[in-house]
Amino acid sequence: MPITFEQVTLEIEVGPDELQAWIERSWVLPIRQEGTYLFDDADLARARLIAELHRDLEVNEEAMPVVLRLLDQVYGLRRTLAELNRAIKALPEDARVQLQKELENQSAAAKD
Amino acid sequence: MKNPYDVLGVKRDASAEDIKKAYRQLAKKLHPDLHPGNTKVEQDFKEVSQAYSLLGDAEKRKRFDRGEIDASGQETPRAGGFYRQYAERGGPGGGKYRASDFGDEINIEDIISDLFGGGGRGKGRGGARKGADVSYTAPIDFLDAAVGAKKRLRLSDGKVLDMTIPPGTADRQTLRLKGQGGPGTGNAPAGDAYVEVHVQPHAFFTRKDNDIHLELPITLQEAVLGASLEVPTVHGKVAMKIPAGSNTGATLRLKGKGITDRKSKQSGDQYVKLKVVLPDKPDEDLKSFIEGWAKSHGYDPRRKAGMT
Repeated sequence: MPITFEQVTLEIEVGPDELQAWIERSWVLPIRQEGTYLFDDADLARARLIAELHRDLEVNEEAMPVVLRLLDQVYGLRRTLAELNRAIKALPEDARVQLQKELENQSAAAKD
Repeated sequence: MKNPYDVLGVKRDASAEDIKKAYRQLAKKLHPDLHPGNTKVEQDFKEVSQAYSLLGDAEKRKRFDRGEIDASGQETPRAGGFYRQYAERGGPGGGKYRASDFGDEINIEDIISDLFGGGGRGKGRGGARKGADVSYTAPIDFLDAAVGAKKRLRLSDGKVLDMTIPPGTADRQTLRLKGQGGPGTGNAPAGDAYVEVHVQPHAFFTRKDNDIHLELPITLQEAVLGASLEVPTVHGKVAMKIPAGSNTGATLRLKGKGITDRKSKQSGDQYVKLKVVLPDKPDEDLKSFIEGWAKSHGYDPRRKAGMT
């Protein structure tokens, strides 16, 4: 169920001008429909994250794009890692054992 | 229930400013979206924000200090939840917020080519290699999906994709945008972008395969006397005749006003279901007329429906 612009401002306690500015900077990407915006749950969660980064974590306007970008990268990496994990789980047993040994060697080497 | 002063690590006589400071310190450390995959931190963060919602509000803090309210029951539900539960989703549904200055985000294609491609050549060092395919999800407008449109897709880093939505695009359909993925190296072509579209619901149209369904409110006089009306369709307004004596639930068909199938080129129909609506305000004239009329015109729709 789409969430309206106004509902988002009330839900996360942010002014309409501020939310509008976030949309214009592409920090939040609601769908534009008939002169208004429709948010889904992910958009709402992201808007709330921005509000909390700003209010509670004192990330200022200049630093916000950097923080969001790094977060997007971390989540991107985690998605890729999850794909890799699924691929490894689909390998035959002996290949997985071999991989595990190799990873143990690598991590032992890294500690030296 | 833990004491909120202990949760925030402040003294009982701490100033409002100190409490705010302590909360911010902890939030910086504990915000769940900064700790993907760590489930414990979410519980800690909830405790901290609960404590702050109590102590950060001067009025609530006074009442708590006087023992009028306890530390429980302060948690307000968090609509939408934490961002990470969306950002972590894999696959083509993995969200539109990507660090997608193409090639900037390490994806599975990069790993494959690092491991198996190019005979040990590192990424970006010589050799022709096709650019990486990238996938996104994008919400699209109901009408754009129905009749087709050209759309600009804006991504979180400001990157823009031009997307042609063909008429009759279905929800969750994946569109391939050739050459709009990551750049190739050498003379190799760019990769493709795959966009899974999520068709947004419309205020009054619904879609079943290639047919469009619409509920049309009509007045009592239009229902009784018949009328010629303008009806919205996905292709614009069309004129439609309502026969005299049309009842709620009667369904009229506008042939060929549905969605054109991409393969067969056949068009679906629009079904218009009538709904008789009385005036918003009770009308005295109507009431007295019906009182007189009812005396000699009894009828029993519930018997017809088998309810008596």
